[in-house]
This record gives sequence, C-alpha cells and structure tokens, in this order.
Amino acid sequence: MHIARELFIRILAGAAVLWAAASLAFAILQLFPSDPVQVIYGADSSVTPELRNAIRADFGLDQPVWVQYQRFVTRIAQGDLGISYQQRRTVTSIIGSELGSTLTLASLAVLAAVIMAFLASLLTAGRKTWLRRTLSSFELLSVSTPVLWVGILLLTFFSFQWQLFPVVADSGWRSLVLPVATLAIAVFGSLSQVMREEMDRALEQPFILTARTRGLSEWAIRWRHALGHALIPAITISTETFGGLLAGSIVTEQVFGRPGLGRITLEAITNHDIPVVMGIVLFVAFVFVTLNILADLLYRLVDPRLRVSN
Amino acid sequence: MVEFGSVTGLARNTGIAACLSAALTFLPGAGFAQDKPQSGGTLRVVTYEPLCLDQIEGTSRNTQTALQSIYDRLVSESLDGKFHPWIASNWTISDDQLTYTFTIRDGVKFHDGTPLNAEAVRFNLQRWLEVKKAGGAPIEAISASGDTVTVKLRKAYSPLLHDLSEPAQGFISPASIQKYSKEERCAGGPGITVGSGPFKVLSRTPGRDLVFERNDDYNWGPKDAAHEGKAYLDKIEQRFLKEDSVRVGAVESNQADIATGVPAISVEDIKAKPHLKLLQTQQPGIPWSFWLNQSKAPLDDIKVREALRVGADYAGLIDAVFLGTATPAYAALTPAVATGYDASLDKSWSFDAKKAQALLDEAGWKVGSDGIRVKDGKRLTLRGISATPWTNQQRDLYAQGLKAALAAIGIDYVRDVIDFGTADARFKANDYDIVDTSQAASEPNLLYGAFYSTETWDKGNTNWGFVKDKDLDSALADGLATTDREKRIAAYKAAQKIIAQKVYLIPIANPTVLLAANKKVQGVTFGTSGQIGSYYDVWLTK
Repeated sequence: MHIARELFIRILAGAAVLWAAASLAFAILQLFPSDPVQVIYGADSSVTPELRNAIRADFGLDQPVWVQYQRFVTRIAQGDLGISYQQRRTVTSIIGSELGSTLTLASLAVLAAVIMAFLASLLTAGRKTWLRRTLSSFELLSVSTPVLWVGILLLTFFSFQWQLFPVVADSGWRSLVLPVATLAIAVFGSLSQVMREEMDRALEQPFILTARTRGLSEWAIRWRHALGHALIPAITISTETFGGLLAGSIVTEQVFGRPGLGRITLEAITNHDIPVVMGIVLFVAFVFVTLNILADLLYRLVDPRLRVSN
Repeated sequence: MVEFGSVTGLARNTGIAACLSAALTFLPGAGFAQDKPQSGGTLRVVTYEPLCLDQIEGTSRNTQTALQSIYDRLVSESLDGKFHPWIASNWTISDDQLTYTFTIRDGVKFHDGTPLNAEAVRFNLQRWLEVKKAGGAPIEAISASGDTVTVKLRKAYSPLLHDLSEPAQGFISPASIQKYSKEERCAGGPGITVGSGPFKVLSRTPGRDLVFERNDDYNWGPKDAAHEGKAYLDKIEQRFLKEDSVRVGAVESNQADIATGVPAISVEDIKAKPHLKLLQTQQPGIPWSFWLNQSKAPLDDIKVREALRVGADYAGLIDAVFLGTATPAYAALTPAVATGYDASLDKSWSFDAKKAQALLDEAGWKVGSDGIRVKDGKRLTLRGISATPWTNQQRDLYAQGLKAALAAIGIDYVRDVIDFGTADARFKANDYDIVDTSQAASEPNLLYGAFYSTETWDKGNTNWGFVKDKDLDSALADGLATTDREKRIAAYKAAQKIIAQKVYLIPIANPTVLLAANKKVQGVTFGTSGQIGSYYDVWLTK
C-alpha cells in the first residue's frame, strides 16, 4: 500500500505543479505588452477600431482580468485549452493532430540514440582505445553542435548532393532517416557520456572482480552486471532528454518541413498565438510531471535496493 | 527566415492584401517563349505554408498566395494597373462614383457543382462586409438581381475594383460555407476548400503539403490571361519548407521546380546552376522606407528630417548590401505602381554630409563631447522600430551601415527589431522616432493609409509619422474620389511631390521579389503585390 499512497501524493503534487504553471503562464501573458487583437487579425494588415472591439468581445478579452483568469482555470480543469487565434481550431485538436508525427520522430530518435549510446558504452567503458577517443570526440561534437546546423549539414550532403534521402517528396521511411538522425545525434552525446561514466565506475567495483574470478567472459560482465548500473543515470536524465527532444524537434521540424508539435510551437510563438502557446506549455508541463513519476517507478524496477528500503 | 508574405510589411486593410494578375509577364531570365505551351505534368513548388485555408477567417498573405489558383474573382488587375473581366463579364460605374453594377458571367460552376451566379457573388461580398467590414471600403449595400450584382457606396472610393481583384476576395462556394464550421474551413481540404478556379484541392497535410489537381471544367479564365480554357498542369504539389537554405537546396538538387522567397545571398548560386533560372519582379507598393515621427522633437523639425535624408549615402549602401536585389528609392511609391509612380523624383536628392551638418547646426543641434549632437541637454538620438516580420538579413545589415554613417554627422540612430505585438504597443504609446517597413500593393491609395492626417495607428492605419498636411490630404482625397485613371495619376504624383518636399518619408529601397525556377517551367506570372501569381498559365517543357 506504500507505493499506492506515494503515487497518490505524487499525482497530487503534479496537479499542483500544473496549476502553478498555468497561473504563471497566464500572469506572464497579462504582463505582455502586445494586444491579442492585432495578433488575431494578423500582422499583414491593420485593424479598424470597430473590428478591434468585435474581436475582443468574441474572444472574451473585454472582461476584467480576474474573470478571464476564472474562465481560464475552469476551462483548463475541464481539459479545454481554448481556440487558436490563428487557426480558429481548438488547441486540443491541434495538439492531438500534431502529436503523432512528433512522437514518431522523437521515439525513433530516442531508440537510435539509446542503441548508439548502449553500444558505445559497452564497447568502450573501462578501455582506453582509439575507438573510445574517437567516440568521445564525437559525443562532444554532438553535445556542442546546434541541431539546426547538423540538420542542414546532413541535408546538404545526403539530400542535395547525393540525393539519397528526399526532403521534398514523401517516400515513407526514406524521408524519416535524416530528421531522425538529426535528432538522435542531438540526444546521443549526453546520454552516451553519462552511461559510459557510470559503467566505468561500475567496472571498478569489487563485484565485477568477483564475477571475473568466476570466469565470466568480458562481454557477459559488461552486459549482465555493468549495464544495469549505467541505466540509473540514463533514467535520471530522461526528463532532461525530453527537454532536449522538444527543443530539438522544433528545429528539426522546421528544417525538414515536417508537421508536428515543434513546428506549431514555433509558429505559435512567432505569431503570438497565445492559446496555442499556453496549451503547449501546459501539455509539456504535464509530460514532465508524468515522466518524473514514471522515472521514480522505474528506479524501483532497475535497482532492487530501492525496493528493499521501502 | 523571413516570410515572403510578411516582409512586405503592414498593409492598409483596404488596399494591400496580395493581388493576382493573371497577365503573362515576360520576365528577365524567363527564357524565350518556346514552342507552343504543352499540357500535362506535375509542378513541384517549395514555399511557405498557409495556416488557415479560409481567406476571410485567416488573413495571412501566405493563405491568399497559396489559394490564387483555387478561387476566381470578380475582376482581374494586370501589372499595368488596368482591370479586366473575369467572373464579371463587364461593369459600369455611375457618374457620381457611388454605384458599381457588375454583370456576372454565365455558366460558371464551383468545384462542388453549384453555380457561381450573381447570388453567390453577393453572398461572398456580404460575408466580406460582415466579417471584415469590407476592409474599410465604404460599402452601403450589396444586392443581386438576375445576372447583375450592385455595390452601393456611401462615398466615392476609387480603389474598389482593386480591392475586388485581390486574392482575399476569391469566391468560395456558399454551399461549403454553410455546410462547414469555421474550424473545418480553416483546416480545409478536398470538398471543404471549394472555389471555382482552374485548380481544385486534392489533398492537404498540415505542416507538410497542399496538392492541387486541374479543374477540367474550367472555361472562365480572366480576360488578361495568356490562354483560354483549362489550365496546362495536371497537378501542383506545394511543399512547405520554412528554412530559406533548404528551399534553395531543394530546387538546386532538382527535388522541386520552383522555390519562392529566395534570399539575396543565394542569387549568384542559382545563376550558376545551368538547370535553373532566376525570376524576379519589382514589388509594387511603398518602398522600404523610414516613416518619420513628426509629432515630437527632433523629427518635427524639417531641417533635421532633411539632414537625415542627405546625411548618409543611402543609394551607395544599397548596392553594397542588397547584392543587386533592390534599387535606390526616391518616390513614396515604387516604379512598379503603374497608376501614379512619379519618376521625376528620381535622384532628387543626394548624399551631402556638409549640407546635413549645416542643417543640424542651424536647427540648434551642436556636436557634443562624444561626437553625437546635443540640444538643450538632449542627445540627438533617433529611435527606430521594425517588427520581425518586416525585416530581413539585408535590411538589418543596411541599418547597421546606416548607423555608422549617421554617427559620422552626429546622429545616434538606434533600431529595435521587435515582435509585432510589442511594436503594436509602442506605436500606441507613440514611443518611436522612425518606423521602417515596406508595403505591397499596386494600388496608389496605399498613400492614403500611410499619410492622410486622420489615418493614424489607433484608427487602424499606418500614418506612423502623424503627418498633418492640408495639401497632401487634398491630393489624397482627389485620388480617392475619382476612378479616372489620368486624374488619379496626377493626384498621386502631386502627393509624392509633397511627401518628398516636406520629407515626410525617406524612401530607401525598391524591393525585388525573387523566385528560383527550373528552366523547364514556363509562363510563371507575378501578382500585383509582387507575389507569385496563379498557376493557370504555367506549363512545363517536356
């Protein structure tokens, strides 16, 4: 019952975080100097005063701030994120329709990054070889290179020069390769660095020596004993990785012209489409909270010591 | 990263939204007219995405540009500023300029099979009046009877035909408006986005592409188009890529046939590719300019304004920065505005640092300790504003060069590039000295919105300078009161002369719109806002 109670508390705390995020976002946008009417109407033309008033009334912007806040919180609690100023669609339907594309991109990128990081740490932890030096330079490069540049570089060579992967035509998996590679490279660096460091440390522990004396092969040691240790920090940085994925998908979707959450985030921010920005802020906060709860549960699965202490 | 649709700047809502002309324009570098136009083929375009496919709900220029081939309009305006029959087979304007009567062409059908008759035209215009207040056009009533539609005005308004020729006034099937919600129409798609144009929507994937297929029934093209009957192309695939370098890379690697919004830095690259050609047109409208705020010091003093105009080598800087993609501007309208551009103003002032310094001395601004001039303890700082969608790499670079040049004569020029919402707030607070942007439309009445004394920002217009000039007002009112072309040209030439004399505006550069196209693409046209035109006349060599 311990776990159930703890989970309940965590969920309650998560809801509080979401409420705080929503209120903060609302407050910041109130302090914002811009007039939503101009945004609703578009930056391409100016608005006559009568039209301005009509639009204000239409979106409930003529109400006092506290009424707007009350309506806002009530709406959010019911899962209604409002209507986009620019697309005139509900924010929930926008997020719903764009989510799939980003999920495909992000999960493939994470899969690729995790496989690469696994292989890199299995191959190079505890060893001082040329391979390790090469891989760590690559990790450093991947951490420090802007995603935009990686994307354009990949496009220049693999799409424009050698025409292996199209950017214009939609040809199934082939149009996914470059965006996934771009995003995977961005995530791979830090993941691999953290995992190898932890494996390095694990390989120096006495239980590894014991295993060696039992005559286990080097691969078995790494695979069965050291890898488990490397997983804990990998879970810890998973929320951080999620942040990286989100930022990375904004750029990746922009460069490769893919639909998705990143694209609409950028579009909404540049156009001041406030309901969409708010909706995404809340959605992202929700995912962060959920990920944190999940990560805590996963620790118990991966690390038996935590189960016992409860 | 600048959107073609918005770099053109703010529009007066009556006059500016993009406008299609289906006239065939022979463009420099467009190649010689080849044999006979051939039917067939798919055109692949890489361009900007329209967010909302309903052009009355969504006002974005990207929407209007993308849908020019889907919707037909009452009349067509060619680049020479003349109007041609389209859905209206002819029209009359009453002597008092208050009643416009249009005869609607027979046999026009929307893609859903419903007729585009006088009633459908009235329905669309009424919606424009209700939802958009007709963009400020003083319309009193719209009625339909038999095959005629009558538009009654409260007062004379000469840009009406221009407004009706704009892509935003394309006719949507009334049946689809009644059947689908705002949300569904904005999302759009086949069967929802229903016009009567030479192409119909085949599919739409938001964030990715919008595909058109030919409308085989089409037989009602605008009179000024290069051909009659249906369009040549089987299909048009518009793929949305926001990143400039990626769009250019896509045409260079033959993955696309046309790229819009080509940045100046890619021009040499494209010219060097044997399979590509560069298509360009000069953008009609108000050049990229400085609007000077005359409601307060220091720009309320004409001497300071004149010093600002001659104190830097504006023309010389253009060649250095714009890499041949802009020409020096002197008039308040660009040379592409056929109705009214005043060529006599060309080179009517030039760089003269000594004169600028003398003018500033006369005005009481003396050089201070750090080289910047001072008067009554105040530094000569000019605070400029531009909104992010109005600027681009070249304009930013130019402004930096200008800052250095103006510092040499003791003017401290500061330019803030801010988001549109913040700019809107600063306009309302009168917190600026200079606004820099350009405006796009072939309609000279743009000047009314930008300079008529009452048309300030809070009234929904762009007289950022707070210009109050009786002579200018009367010239602009004259241009608005008559549809007589010669009289209008005279009125707007007079207006440009006053604007230049009194230094109400410093025109800087006449922008050029650039497209990269594969050499097999023929018949590309440009619209009257400088945007790529309808694909009706476009064909591909085999």
